[in-house]
Amino acid sequence: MKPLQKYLLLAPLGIWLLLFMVLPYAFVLVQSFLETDMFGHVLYHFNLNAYQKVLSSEVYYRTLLHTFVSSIIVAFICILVSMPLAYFIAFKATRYKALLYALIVLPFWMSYIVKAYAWKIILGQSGILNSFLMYVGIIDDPVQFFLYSDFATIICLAYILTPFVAIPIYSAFEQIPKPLIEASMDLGASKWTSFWNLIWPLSLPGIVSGGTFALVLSMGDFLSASLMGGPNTLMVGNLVTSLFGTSNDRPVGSVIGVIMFFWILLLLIGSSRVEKKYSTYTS
Amino acid sequence: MVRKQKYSFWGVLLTIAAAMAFCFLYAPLLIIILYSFNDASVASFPIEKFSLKWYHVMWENESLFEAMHNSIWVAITSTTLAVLIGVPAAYALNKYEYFFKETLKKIILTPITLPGIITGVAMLSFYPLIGLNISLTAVIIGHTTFLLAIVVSLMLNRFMQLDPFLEQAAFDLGATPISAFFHVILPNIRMALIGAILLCLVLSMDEIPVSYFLTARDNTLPMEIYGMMRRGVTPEVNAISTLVFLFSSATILLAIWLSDRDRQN
Amino acid sequence: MTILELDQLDKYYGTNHVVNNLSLTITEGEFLTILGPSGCGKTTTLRMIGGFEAPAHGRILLKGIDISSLPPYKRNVNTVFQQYALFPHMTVSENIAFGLHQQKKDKAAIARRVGEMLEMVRLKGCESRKPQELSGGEQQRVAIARAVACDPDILLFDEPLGSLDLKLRKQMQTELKNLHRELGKTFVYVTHDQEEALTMSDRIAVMNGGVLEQLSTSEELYYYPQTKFVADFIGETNILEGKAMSADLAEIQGVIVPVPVNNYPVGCDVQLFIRPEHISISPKAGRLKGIISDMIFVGTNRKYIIEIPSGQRIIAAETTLHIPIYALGQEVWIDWNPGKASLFW
Repeated sequence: MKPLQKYLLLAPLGIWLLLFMVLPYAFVLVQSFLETDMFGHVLYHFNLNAYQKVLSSEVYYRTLLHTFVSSIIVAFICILVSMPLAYFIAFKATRYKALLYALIVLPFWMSYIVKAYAWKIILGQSGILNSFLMYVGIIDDPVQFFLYSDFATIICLAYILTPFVAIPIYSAFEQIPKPLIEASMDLGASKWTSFWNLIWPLSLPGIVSGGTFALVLSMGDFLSASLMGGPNTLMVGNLVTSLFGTSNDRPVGSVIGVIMFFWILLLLIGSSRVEKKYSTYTS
Repeated sequence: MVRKQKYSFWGVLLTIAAAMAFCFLYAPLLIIILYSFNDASVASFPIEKFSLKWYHVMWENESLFEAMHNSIWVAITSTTLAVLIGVPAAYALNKYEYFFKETLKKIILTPITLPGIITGVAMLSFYPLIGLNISLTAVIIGHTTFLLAIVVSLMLNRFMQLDPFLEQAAFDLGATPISAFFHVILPNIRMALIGAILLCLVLSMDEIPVSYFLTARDNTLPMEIYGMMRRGVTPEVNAISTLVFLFSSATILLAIWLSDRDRQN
Repeated sequence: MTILELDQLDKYYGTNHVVNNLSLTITEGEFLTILGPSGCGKTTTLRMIGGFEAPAHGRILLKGIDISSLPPYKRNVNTVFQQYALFPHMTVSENIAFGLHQQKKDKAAIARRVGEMLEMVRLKGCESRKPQELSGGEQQRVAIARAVACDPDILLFDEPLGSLDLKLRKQMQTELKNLHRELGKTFVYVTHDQEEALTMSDRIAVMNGGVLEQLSTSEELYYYPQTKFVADFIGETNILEGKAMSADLAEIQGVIVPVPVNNYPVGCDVQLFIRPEHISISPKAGRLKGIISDMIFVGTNRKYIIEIPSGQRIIAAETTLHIPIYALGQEVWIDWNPGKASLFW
């Protein structure tokens, strides 16, 4: 009776995940070895043509590189914004700590599209930022590069992903035992020394994990670039949507999907290594 | 020992930086709310006249309401499926030992670890092969798949905190497994379950990458807004965004409050 | 009359043989304690009776019927759990009524029974409180009331007093003993606390490494341990190493002494176990010579530590006199009644 129950309760989940998740992922891998006819129909001829196409084209390299650089900038901005925010809530805020924490969790769950839309009306040519700057007299003509540019894409992504970064950094700060900091101050360490020798290494796992989130998620993003990006903004995500849409070359799209998958896997493994290495300090 | 003065240079700098970061997080959201009451059709500074004009325009937009209707249907169906499949699985994962437990726990999280686009194209490529053409049904199945990650991980966490002897005590007193689940286990995990359901509803209502690849004619709400945005800035998006924003905030705050209350018990 | 019979039970956790060929019979109305160190298989045995673990081999007979394959909810046996496992979302009354509801009793009967139970455990007035609002001792009583309410054939106790402080534990021991007498039910009680076992039980089953070492009354266990483990585990004891010489003689520390009749091979290493209170001290004559190296006053008696020539320290307990008779460093002789010592090899 018991073993039956044990597997019956788990079976629906197993079947669901296999059918609707694992097999789809696996099929992307299979599809990357296929080719299309002239109408874009996928043909079951196994070959490496799609890989050849991707590896021999400069556009794909440029896009991958551009995406990676943009994502690093996004992750960097997120960390830069999150650090003082998390530090303030962890060490300075006293009475309103729970409220302030809730305030960084809340945007995390807010609609992506609403957040992107906000930046669209802020950065638009006759948008809020431009009209504000003209109103106060800093500029005379609207600044063109605000919207439809790499700048807009990166700002929007950084905005959306900041809560993903702030939350792990905050919990890393929270896990640092307060007496340790007091002891370090007590031993005559200045605020800077205690920060560099104590808080920084101890919070590094949180920073790495948050930064990886931002990096991975912005590398896979296609909405921000398609809503905010300019003519030169080509992110991998947009390449993939077009290959699965208008350009209709699914095998090539799958190759890029596979490359992204392994690249992200590598990043995740690397970051969990770093996190493990540094988290041994805490215990 | 010399006490540092209360307002040090670094302390002030930190406070300013933190305040700016909060502004960065909240100014855009506040701007949306504010400009939803802007009478003009261009969002520029300063607002010259406040009105409910764009709420009226939104009210007249039938395709928006249809999309909202679709989204609510998708959210409720996929959340229900995720709960029906995920809760028994989380219960079993907590109670029994499986040799593949750790692997399964990792696999289940992939759709929320990987960027949605990979999941989206994978589903788009594979679902038609099993007779599931892109449609709202496909969207529901796609959403259920990543909501399972949320339901299973949250509920597994809750089950792990639950005293295993409670269930044994119920069995001991003559309760069958079904009766024990409904009379002893469920009342004790109720708040966490409601919290998980609320999070699922919000996530499904806001989801884009998977819906992007799986919607056919029937749009979900975020896809409809996305379409409107692609066509240019229309202030009625401000109005609908404000409503979406209020819905999400209220739901999430309720979820946080419920899970806190559950933890205290 | 036998109410419960465990027949050659075996249980494994992986390759770990946690209960090994365990057989024992429990009489109706008896207070039986399973005693042993942690990991000895006592809790597993109790959980097999309760139906939470299935034995690998063997049968469990309740009133002559094999229940070993029945789930817990089909056994007329109730458990008082170690951490009580009271349902936090129910009031005291609802907790007590839970089992009765499962039996689909009518409302009036349930209310009456719950009232009786509250009376029994002296918790009238706490009906509508939640378990979290009660003290440890009160929670304990609710757990007992909840288990008794269903009128089980046997009540199982899994170290129920473990989380109470010493004073409350003593009080609860008395209450449990009284309850046992009032109810006339069969109690099976698991503990690692030998004092608790000795004071409460009619019979004690000592387990070690999954094996039943001895099943007997407190007195027999204390004075006539059947295995070396029991002799060592129960109470304080002196262990003297030696060699068997014949069926009733052994050489201990160079002295030939009479020992309980045995059939150990001649010349094998043996150990003689003697309780401190069975060792007498005399200034002039005895079996072994030693020097008083320490004295400990423990109220009802005084313990002398005597160092014998081999360097071993023997503990002797004498009924307290106002003044110690012997002085530190004094040379004395020790002796014991061979009939009260136990010999093992």
